Formats: sequence, C-alpha cells, structure tokens
Amino acid sequence: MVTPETSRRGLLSASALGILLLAGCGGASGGRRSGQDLSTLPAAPRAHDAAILNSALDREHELIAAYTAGVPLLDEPGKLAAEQFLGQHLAHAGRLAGWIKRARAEPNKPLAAYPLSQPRTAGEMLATLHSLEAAMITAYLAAIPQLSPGKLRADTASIVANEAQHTAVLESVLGRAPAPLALVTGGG
Amino acid sequence: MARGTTRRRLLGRAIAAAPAACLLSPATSLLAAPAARAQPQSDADLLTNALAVQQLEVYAYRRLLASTALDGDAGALVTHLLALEVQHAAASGTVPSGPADLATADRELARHPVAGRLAGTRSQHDCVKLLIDLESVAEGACYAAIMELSDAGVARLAAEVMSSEAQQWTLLDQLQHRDVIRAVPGPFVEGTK
Repeated sequence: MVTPETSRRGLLSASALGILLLAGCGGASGGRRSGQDLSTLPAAPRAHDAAILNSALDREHELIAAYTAGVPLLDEPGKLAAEQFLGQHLAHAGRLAGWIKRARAEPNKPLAAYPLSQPRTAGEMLATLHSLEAAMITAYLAAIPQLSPGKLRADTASIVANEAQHTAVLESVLGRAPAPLALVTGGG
Repeated sequence: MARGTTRRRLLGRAIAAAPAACLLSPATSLLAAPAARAQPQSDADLLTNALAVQQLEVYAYRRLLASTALDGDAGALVTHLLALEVQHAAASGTVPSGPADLATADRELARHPVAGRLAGTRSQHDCVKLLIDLESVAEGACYAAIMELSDAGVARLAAEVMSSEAQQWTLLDQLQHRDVIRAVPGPFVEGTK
C-alpha cells in the first residue's frame, strides 16, 4: 500500500490544485465541433457518459499517485520522463473533471492511498508504471465506443494517444523494443 | 476468430458502403467541390481519407528507406515503423492504392502541412523531419475521423491506429533530438490537419 509521505504531500497538493485549475479549462473548452455538447445531452446519456468518465478519472488518479511515488525512485532519463508524464496525467484528470462537470455530475476525488505493488528498484518502478499505463489504454479504448459520438470520443482518443506515447518511452527506457504492435490496445 | 480478421471485417463493412469512385480515387472526398464537402461525410468517406494518408506514409517510408540518407539506427527504426504502417494500410482488404509515382506523392504531400518533399530530401535530418510531419498528419486524419464516425467499433479501431501513429511520432522525434521531454510534448494528441 502506498501512502502519501510528507515529501510527497506537497506534490499531491499541487496535483489537486492543478486538477481544479484544469477542470475549469476543460469546462470552458468543452464545446463540440461535432456531436452534441455534454451539457445539453438528455439526462440518461449524460449520466452514462459521466459514469464512464469518472471511471477513467479514478484510473488517472491512481496513475498520478503512482508517478508521484515513483519519481523519487528513478534515475535519468526515466526520472525526467516520469516528471513530464505526471504533469500530463494531471492535465488528463483536469480535462476529465471538466467534462464530468459539464455533464452536471461530480468528479470523483482521489483516494487517500492506492494498493500499488512495492517496487524496490528503478527498473521495477518503471515496469509498474508501464503496466498501469497499458491498463489505462485498455480501459480508455473500451470506453470510447460507449461514449456519446463526436468530439468527446475524439478528445478521449487524444488522451489515449498520449498514454501510448508514454508506453513507448517507458519501453525504450526499460530496454524493451518500443511500439511493438501496429494497433495499440494496451494488451500487447 | 483472429482479432485481425475481425478488424478487417469491421473496416470492410464500413468501406463497402462507399461509392466505387470514392474507392478508386483515394483523394476524391478530399478534393470534392466545396458544396459537396458541406454534405455530411459517411463513415466510408472518413475512412477513405484516413487510409489515403496511410498509403502516402507507406510510400514515403519506402522511398526514404531506399535512399542512402539514413544511418544504421535510423534505418532500423524506419524499417520497423514501415512495417507498422503497412499493417495499418492493410487493415482493410479494400484499401485504395497509394501514389503512383514520386511526383504524385509530392503533390499529395503539398496538400498537407509537411514542409519537405520526397524529391528534395537528402539528409537524414530532413528525412526524419518529413516523417515526423507526416505522422502528425496521420494523427490528425484519425482524430478528425473519430470525431465524425458513427460506427462505435470503427471509432475504437481508429483510436488504436491513432495511438500507434503517436508512438511513431515520439520514436522519430527521439531519434531526431535525443530529448525525452520533447518527444512527448503535450497531454493531448490531435495531430495536424
């Protein structure tokens, strides 16, 4: 079980603040070029979308906790990458929270602790992060067909593509062959 | 049933609805008159646009790989990425053919935000830059398609391809700049139009 340490508390507080700020941005830019705006959907599909997005938000919170715990264990270049990816997951969480608010629902909050494995080395930590990223990709891809069609699906795909970039870099740092498959499913 | 077969059937089903002329000419829907473009595009039109970009990528990768500009590391990476692009383009058995020759390919490139041209590319740096630009175009084509696609399964498949294009963009950028931060610059990947 990973629990926030004093040194991480500042990072996590900054994370929470970042999510709140970014949630405002997501809400402001939530208009759709294609498809219906989340806020104007009928109640049932709006609630359905919000539930799916909240499930994704839960996973983003878990990844944020994992990166926050993992960064101090890592060396260059993995550390640099992990810091960059942590910021990007915060942006994902902020965007998701903004969408959920537009759907007139309440974004889920992070848990106090997450049941992560106990990586002892930088390599184990990177492998744990890679596994979590891959699981995240699988979950997002399963969510896309369930979401209302239009910009929401496309913008969710834009998050998945970023997660896929994360896995490619982590594979490189781990000494694995990066981007082994033509279709990214998270299960490769 | 094999996953690849399922995907081929999924794409084939969507493309089967396309008018024959659309399939014979990959650029038909992109070059259509403004009045025609104002009409809602079918899933088949959207996929045809995206697949035309895939075919252009395959042509560009093959062309640059055949040049003497790439060193060992770059050649190995480009060979791997070409294999991925061929699989993207082959995901459907009814893919339109790619550019017929170099001049056609360069005319296709000129319609996209790609700075280089295949005919004038000599250095490894320029080759990789052109491929990075082209990967951005492919990401953008997938993103635009997903925004409009009505078939949820095909939208998911397009997201899988888009994610692969994003990975390729990252690996090419890493090769070019050796900078892990620059290689994953932003949290949302939308490509270029």
